[in-house]
Amino acid sequence: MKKVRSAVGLLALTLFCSVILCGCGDDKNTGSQASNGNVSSSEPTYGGSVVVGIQQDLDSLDPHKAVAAGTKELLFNVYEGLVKPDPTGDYKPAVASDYTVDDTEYTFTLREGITFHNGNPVTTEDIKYSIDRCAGLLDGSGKEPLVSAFSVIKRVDIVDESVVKIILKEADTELLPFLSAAIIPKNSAEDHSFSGTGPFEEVEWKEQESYTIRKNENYWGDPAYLDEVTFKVVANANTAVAEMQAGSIDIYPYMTDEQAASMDGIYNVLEGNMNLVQALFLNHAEKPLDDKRVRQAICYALNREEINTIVAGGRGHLIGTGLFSGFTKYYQSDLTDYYSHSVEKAKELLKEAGLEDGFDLEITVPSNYQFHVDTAQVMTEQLKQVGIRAKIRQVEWATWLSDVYAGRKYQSTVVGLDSTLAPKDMLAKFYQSSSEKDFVNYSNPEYDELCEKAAATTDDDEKIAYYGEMQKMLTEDAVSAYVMDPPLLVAVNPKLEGYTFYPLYVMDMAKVYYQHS
Amino acid sequence: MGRKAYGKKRNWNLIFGSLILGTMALLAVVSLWYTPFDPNAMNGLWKNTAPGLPHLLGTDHFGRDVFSRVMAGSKNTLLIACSVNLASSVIGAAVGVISGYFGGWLDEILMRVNDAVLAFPSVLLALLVISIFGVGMHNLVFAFVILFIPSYARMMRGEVIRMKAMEYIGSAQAIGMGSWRILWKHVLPNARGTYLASVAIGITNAVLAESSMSYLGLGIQPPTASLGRMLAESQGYMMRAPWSALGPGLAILGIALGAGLLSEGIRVKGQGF
Amino acid sequence: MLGTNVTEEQAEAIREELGLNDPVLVRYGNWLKGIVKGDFGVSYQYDKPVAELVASRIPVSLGLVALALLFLLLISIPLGILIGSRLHSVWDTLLMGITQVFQCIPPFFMGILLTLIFGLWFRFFTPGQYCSYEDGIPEFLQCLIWPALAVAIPKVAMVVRFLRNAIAEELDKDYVRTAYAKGLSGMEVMCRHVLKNAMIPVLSVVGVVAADLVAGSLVIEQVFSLPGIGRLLISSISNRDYPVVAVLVVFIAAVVMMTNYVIEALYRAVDPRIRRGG
Repeated sequence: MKKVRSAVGLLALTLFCSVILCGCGDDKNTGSQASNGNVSSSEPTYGGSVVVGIQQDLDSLDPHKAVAAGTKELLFNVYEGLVKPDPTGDYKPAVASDYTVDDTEYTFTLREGITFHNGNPVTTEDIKYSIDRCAGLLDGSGKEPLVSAFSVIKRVDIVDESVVKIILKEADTELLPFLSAAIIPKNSAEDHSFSGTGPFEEVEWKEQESYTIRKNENYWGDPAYLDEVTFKVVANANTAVAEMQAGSIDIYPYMTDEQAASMDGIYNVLEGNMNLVQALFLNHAEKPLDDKRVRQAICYALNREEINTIVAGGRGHLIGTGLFSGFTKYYQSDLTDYYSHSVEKAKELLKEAGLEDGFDLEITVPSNYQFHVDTAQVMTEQLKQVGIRAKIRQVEWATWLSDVYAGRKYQSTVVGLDSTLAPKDMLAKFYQSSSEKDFVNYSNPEYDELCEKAAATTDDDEKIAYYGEMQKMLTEDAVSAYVMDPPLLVAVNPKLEGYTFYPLYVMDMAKVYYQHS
Repeated sequence: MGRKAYGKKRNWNLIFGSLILGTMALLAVVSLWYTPFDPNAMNGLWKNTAPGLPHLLGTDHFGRDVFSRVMAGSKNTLLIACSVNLASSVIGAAVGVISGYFGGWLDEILMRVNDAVLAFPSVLLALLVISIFGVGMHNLVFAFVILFIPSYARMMRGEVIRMKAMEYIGSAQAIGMGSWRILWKHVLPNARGTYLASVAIGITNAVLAESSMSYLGLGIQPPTASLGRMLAESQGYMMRAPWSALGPGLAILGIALGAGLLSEGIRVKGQGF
Repeated sequence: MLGTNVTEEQAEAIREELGLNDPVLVRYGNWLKGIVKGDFGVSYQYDKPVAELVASRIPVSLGLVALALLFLLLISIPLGILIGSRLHSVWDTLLMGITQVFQCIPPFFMGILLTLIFGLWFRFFTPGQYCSYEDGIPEFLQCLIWPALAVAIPKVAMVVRFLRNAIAEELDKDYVRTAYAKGLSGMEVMCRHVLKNAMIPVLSVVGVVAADLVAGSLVIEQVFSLPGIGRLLISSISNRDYPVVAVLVVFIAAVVMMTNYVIEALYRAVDPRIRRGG
């Protein structure tokens, strides 16, 4: 028996020593890695694969039906439209090699030799099919368009093998950004055989796990550097940091400020804008939010500076209306401080509305977005100070989409809205009472009229003026409590270079490469 | 086995158990009137500060005081644990007593149902209830009550059957006491020790189960302080602020361990007599 | 599954197709009929057969539970022997104390602690890393080691306590004295006689613990982001994807019950006394 005891003791001692040894050895390794990261040599190399952490599962592989911004930003790498945005926000020809705009007629010339990932050449038939599908013109069934801006399209004409004409019902100078809608093979939606033309092609989607894409060797433009990119769904936003610290994720784009701070010296943290309108969206169909004074009280009660400090480390851009500040051409910056934090004013307004004792408010938040959940928690505290008893209801993204966004069954919600680079995509899409996406149930005839006027005019200055007025109306009516354009903090493995920010919500993996080592 | 040795020694289990659980309960009760800071108050200037003064256990990523949140979280956790055990032990004991005392087909049916529930993995049943009735504290308590009834029922049944065999029950019957009266006067008082020990271990189990559900986001909803939820949130800041995980973790451990030791202590004490 | 662009008629058509307009009992009946025929329904969320979704995840969870059980036995049997043969020694008090403390750590907190200490500080493993079983069994098992430990460690106390008491009891018996008298060494007595008898009650504990291991695994998959049944179950609950929830609940319950049945059968086979009494 004595032998057993000493043997166990020895074993324990050995194990203990090996623990220490392993710990030491690995520490040295990480040290040298970190110093490697500081030596910057930015010579691009081809090849390699990366893992990108994403916050949510994809909602659909159908590029026309994907709703979540988080899905669309991935599909950006796989699908292309007739045109495609570049990092400056200009729309450049993509599937089309050239285009001309003539009032109500857009003419596109098909890029020569361009093929789908499945090997088939892109034809004008495919273009017609894709645009028709988005515009709800397939079979002439008169369905609701998948892209609401496409309701202006009258028909798509195939002129010859390489030219397509899109005929509009009326002039629309804002249509171009929407024509970045994916071009897919004819009839591919019917049998789910989607195929794109982008720099990457789809490999597989494992639900809840990952979405993998690989380099398109026959890409018409600058080919991607990386061979393969895996977008890994990180079930718990909080485990992402641990995974990065240990090196199993190379790029993670949605760090909160505090998480970014814990990446110091391990990964590079790049800072850009999310190009979202983050707000506490209020459902006007719900009492007491139908009362403008109550909504204004909420706006006054929220201390956006504090929210910015706590959840975004002060790096967000505060906004005061339904457009993000990066939209410099249209954004009304004087509205930013329209509602400056004031508990007194908020209480006064509530009293006027007959709610001096406050009221219960339910804030629905998609649980996968740590940033919005955190924001909602800070808001709850701030609202408490004016007597509004807010409660948070966390839901899964799919539930949010069906209950809040589509079903409009909610009181208030914290979320960020993205858009293409057309103000219409924000201001008309979400607030025009006839729009299917008016999920806040805002209904103001004056506003609707402005929407139509803005859409109809072709004069740029006039357009800016109309959109300016609309923004003012959104703010004065306190349609929702607008907060900020959140900062986009991207943690990137120091061995990688080329991560490029866009003025809209996309993640371009084609420009990312491993440094020459 | 070893009863002799324990009998002479101090009942350390009882002492330590009461001490630890008492401390945690005290913290929880005090939190009703006083916490060093408002457990939900945020402060952007004090994010993720290390333990020290004035924040004894540091602050989390909202600048909330971890110690105050641990106090408030312990209160919520203990509240759930106690109400669950109160309800399930009363119902469970009733089922067990009836089943054990009267026996027969009633016993057979009740115990088969009991076994079925017992065989279910605990979290799974709670998840099932939540999936049907939705997320919320009441539903969670309801799920746990169902979950906890069988073990009480089985324990009580065993006690009753054991005592039925004893002489004094036979004598009581002989002098013509009614069934209910015997139950009330003799059986129940004698099962007290076992019963208390079961309640204590039940509290351990309830605390562990509640924290798991809150960790999964299916228990107490934010911003209400909950130990499991605090752990989930702290996971993202582990390198920078490990204290925001250790505080609630130790609190769960404290309550569970305290109740566990207490249960053991009560059991041993019962054997000693 | 209904996107944001769906119209009333489309929604109605889908409800019809899924049979959501039927009364509850009819739906339940249809569901049961399907299960019997091997048709487990279609997930609302992913528009895929439930069987397919679940099947790809079974190996992950099964591997996790099996590994956890293995670790549990590997840790607790030596500990049980060590303590059981030294009742009331310092070892006994110390180890029983430690295992009791571990018993009160919920598996997910154990997972967090293991990640912090061995993943982030010592860098023994990469938190969140997962290798599919399709890419190689050794790598796959390697990814499961730490999650399995997190599930197993809190349960050690229970098995050790049982084994300790069982061994202590056996050691008190006459046949042990006889064995010593025959001149067998301590190790031999332990292995040849005591352990064989002491393992019987332990077997019954393993049955109880197996359910706990399954429950622990459901949660721990979330901590280590393992794509197993637990994660599917929890996301399906949140997304109200009832066809998936229903199948998973039935499946897990069936597995647990089967485990219990197998253990009971083993128990009877090992212990002749029960066989006779049975």
